[in-house]
Amino acid sequence: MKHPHKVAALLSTFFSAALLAYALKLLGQIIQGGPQVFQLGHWPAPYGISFVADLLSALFICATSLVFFAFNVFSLAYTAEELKNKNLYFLCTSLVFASLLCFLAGDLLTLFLSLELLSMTSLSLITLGSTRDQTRQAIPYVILNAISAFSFFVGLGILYGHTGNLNMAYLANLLRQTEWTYGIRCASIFIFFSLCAKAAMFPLFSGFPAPILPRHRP
Amino acid sequence: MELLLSMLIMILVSVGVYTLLQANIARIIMGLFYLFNAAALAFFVASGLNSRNAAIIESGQGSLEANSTNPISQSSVILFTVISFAVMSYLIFLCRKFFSDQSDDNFSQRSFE
Repeated sequence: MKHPHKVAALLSTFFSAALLAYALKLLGQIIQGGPQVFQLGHWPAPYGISFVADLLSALFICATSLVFFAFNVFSLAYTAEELKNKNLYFLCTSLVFASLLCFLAGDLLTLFLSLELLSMTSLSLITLGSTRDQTRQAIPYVILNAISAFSFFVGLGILYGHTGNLNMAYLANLLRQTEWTYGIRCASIFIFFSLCAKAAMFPLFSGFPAPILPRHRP
Repeated sequence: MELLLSMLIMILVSVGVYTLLQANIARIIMGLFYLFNAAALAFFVASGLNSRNAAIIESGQGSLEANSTNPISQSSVILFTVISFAVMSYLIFLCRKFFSDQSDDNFSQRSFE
């Protein structure tokens, strides 16, 4: 194939338009019928994986789909030549998939998985140009991400040991009604640290890469 | 048993943090390896250690037997093992790539600065 990036760009644009249409349809369903719950494989919670879409998550999904569609349209004409043959569209689609999984996660384990997928695809996009500077910038980011994954999972373990469940709706009801023990407070600190590290909040932003300017600006 | 495993977790975390703070990339990777194993072990201990039947639903039954182990902790640890393996592999790949154009090929002696 002579121009594989053109085919990838057109396919990605088509699917992002379909995703945007489906996100708008989901938003309409939630406005009319309230929050939607889906059990993967029809396995009931807590053994099955739950996906929950309420109004806030539907709005986030619509915003993400809109940005993804705009990116695809923009990239048809303006993406730098050096990026076109290096899995840019695959990685961006994976990033959007991880974002949608993050918005729809109904339990903390799925949220952990989606955050890790988000981090891995972000890292891959950071090192897309394969220059030495990009690789040098990405290594501390991977290490910080690994430490935050450790912290999140330890927090999940402690929380699961004290509550017996990782479903977010169940935990929200339980933690509202019962008094917080030291174990739950400890788990909250671990999870809070992890989310702060992933969100690059003070003082955990030092490991994050400096902005990488494109060589060819549109 | 929980006490013994808790002490093992403490040792793993201590060794992991100590090696993570070294200015050597191979030791940083080893430190992360210790921390990940400590986290997986901590999840198992926190969710309760027991010796029961495997968490498999027989055909014709709608739910698990009463004497079955909890499948959530096992699936969580497997998920974490896969993710930690992916993160470690990616880190090793990046480090190999970063240091590949240097003349010294002793990977274990490389440091960031």
